[in-house]
Amino acid sequence: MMKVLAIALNTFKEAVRNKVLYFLLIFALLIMGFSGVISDLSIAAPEKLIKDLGLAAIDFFGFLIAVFVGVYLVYTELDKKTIYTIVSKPIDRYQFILGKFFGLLITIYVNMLIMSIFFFAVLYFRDATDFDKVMKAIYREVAPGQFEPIGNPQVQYYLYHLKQFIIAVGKGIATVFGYSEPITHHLMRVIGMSALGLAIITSFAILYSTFSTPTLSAVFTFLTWIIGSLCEDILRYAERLAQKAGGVQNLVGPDLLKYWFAQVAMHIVPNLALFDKRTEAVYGPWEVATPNIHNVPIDWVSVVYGLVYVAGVLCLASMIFNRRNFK
Amino acid sequence: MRRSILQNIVLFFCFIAFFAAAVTIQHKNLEKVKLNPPFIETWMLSGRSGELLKLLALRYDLVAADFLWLRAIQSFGGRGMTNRDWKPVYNMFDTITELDPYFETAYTFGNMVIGDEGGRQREGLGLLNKGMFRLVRQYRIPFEGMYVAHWQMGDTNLARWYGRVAMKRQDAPNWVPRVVAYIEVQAGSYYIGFDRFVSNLLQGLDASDFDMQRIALNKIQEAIDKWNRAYLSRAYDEFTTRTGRLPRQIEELADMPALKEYEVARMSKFIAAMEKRARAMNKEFAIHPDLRRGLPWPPREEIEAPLPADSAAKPGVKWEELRNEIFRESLVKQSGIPEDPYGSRYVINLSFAGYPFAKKDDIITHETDRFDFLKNLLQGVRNSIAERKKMLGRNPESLREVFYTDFQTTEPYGASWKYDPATGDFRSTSHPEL
Repeated sequence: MMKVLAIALNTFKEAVRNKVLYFLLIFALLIMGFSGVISDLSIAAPEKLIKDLGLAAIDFFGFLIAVFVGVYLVYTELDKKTIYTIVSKPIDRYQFILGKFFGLLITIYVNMLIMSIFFFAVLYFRDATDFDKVMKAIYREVAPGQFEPIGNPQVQYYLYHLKQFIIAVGKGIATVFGYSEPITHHLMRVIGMSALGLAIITSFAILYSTFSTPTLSAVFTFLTWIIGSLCEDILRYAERLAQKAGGVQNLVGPDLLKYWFAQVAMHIVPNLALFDKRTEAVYGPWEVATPNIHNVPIDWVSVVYGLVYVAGVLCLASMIFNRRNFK
Repeated sequence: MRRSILQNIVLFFCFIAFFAAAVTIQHKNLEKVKLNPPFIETWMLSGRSGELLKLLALRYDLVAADFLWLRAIQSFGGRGMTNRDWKPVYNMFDTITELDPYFETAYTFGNMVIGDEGGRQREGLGLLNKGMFRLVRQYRIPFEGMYVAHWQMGDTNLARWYGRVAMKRQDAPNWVPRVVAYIEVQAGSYYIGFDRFVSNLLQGLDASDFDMQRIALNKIQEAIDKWNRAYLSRAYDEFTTRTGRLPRQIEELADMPALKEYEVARMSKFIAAMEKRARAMNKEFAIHPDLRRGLPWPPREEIEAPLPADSAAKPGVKWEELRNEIFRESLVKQSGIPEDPYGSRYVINLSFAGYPFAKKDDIITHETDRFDFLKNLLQGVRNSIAERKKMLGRNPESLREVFYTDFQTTEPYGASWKYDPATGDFRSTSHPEL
């Protein structure tokens, strides 16, 4: 266990030196900041826009980090021959794979945490700087319908925004550690599920990098992500084929082949839709009409699915890496 | 070497175990996917832009919908200032709602753009229908459907259907049934409309909400009036068909089949049923004294008559619990001209009878309204005479000189007009005092 941890921490240190990581992080933060601005263009549901864009950015940039950092991890060790210094020590190859996997996962999760803090801060700041709230902060009602400014309105305006910015960042950090308000209720669960989905993608990135070049590994990981995202749709397509023919028993030739190929493939490829709880985060559970607080129940079956799937892929990666000749 | 083989065997079994567990869970998940309701299942992968975009968005469909939503808003504004061609905007909203099926505002705003602004109410309703079946607990979408169907398309039956759906939704506020009851009455479902307004009144009494009572009482009068007019209107048609002439008095309709043994709610019976129960409940009154003006107040003996033996009215009982018995007691099976719920009586306004574009509601009217109509008509003609007099510098010699044609409007009571060129005085022979 300590060996895995040592490799993981080393991998993390190595990964944080990667400049790609920072570019991706900056882009993600820019997009989230941008969401706060464009939400003003919407005539309704500005909060929804920020949530949609923020959660999608965290998920997508987490995926990009997994691909662009993950595919190089094993390859670099082999390319620079540093693997010899590791395998010559009493470390099993599976431990090496696990160490690399957890190291990359820590990198991704740290980035996700930074993105989450920023995302929550944008949400809190947007909420606190709502027109009515700003007006209430810089004007006071002296008589019904009569308002007078509290001090210099312009100065008060900027001071209020500065104060709210600091508060929003503070709340953002607190939210990551369990604090929540109605506006951010259960969003950490959504991000947590995204993180589990990313663990699957990371395990695939490691798997592919054990037997192929970084470019091919990136392509394979990307394709796995696409198939995983479309998993349920492909199954529906197969069901539609059967429906059109009037049942599976009536399917013949290529359609029958397509049907069974889809059925089998969709059982094997990861179903990433299970880790996508963004709709619940924005609209709440569908059983409740227009809820004020959007509860996102934890889908334990999906959690177990994600964990066993990752374990399975890592076993496969270890098996392949065990047989790999480093000469 | 041996250790490596052993490790590989262990890893292989671990892989089999983990992967088998994953595949088993996935199998169960996919079984659930197969059970998805058809309206979700069938709209996928059928080649339309929204469905295709949903696939291409790769689970980021909400973000794709958001960007398209912002674009649609800009497009709405842009087209509003230029060619006002809203048709392409429909496709945008259709696509947005495919990408984000729970985006309520996209349905309602889309309907407003396409229906209100674009004049394509059918397409707007199509969008609302789509949203109504996806957001099954929200009232707003079917409620807007009701609005479009009734006030824009004039289809009260369709409006009634939307209204009934809206009313049953989980988040429907308590004012929705009131609006729907109004639609029910407009669509000819008088029993339902009357019952709902009675229920509103009783709720208002239980909550001691004066405004609610006032509105509900007003609506009850309106519902009964509509109900009565439906029978009178049918009788009017029967009369004209049978005799080949227009009726001069409302009483002429009394013998028509439509007015034989028909059931209707009677306002005075309803008031009596309410007041009787108020006494049994030790309350001073049911209908607030400030609301009694213009009501056909029942005779004292009717209010003091004993309650039916099965009545639940007693001190401490809530009004709402008496809804069914009050409803039942308000209904009468009768023949002849119905009682006017506004405390007046039904009459025929002969100014409108025979006029090809007149509405039935103008022909069959209340005595008070006919009187007001005559007053307004007299005032209008007198104003015209005064204007003409200013131009001529003398009184016009005849009404022809005022209107450039014969004054053809029939006197509402069937009497005649009297014009005196010497004094410029214009009067009706039915009401010379006016």
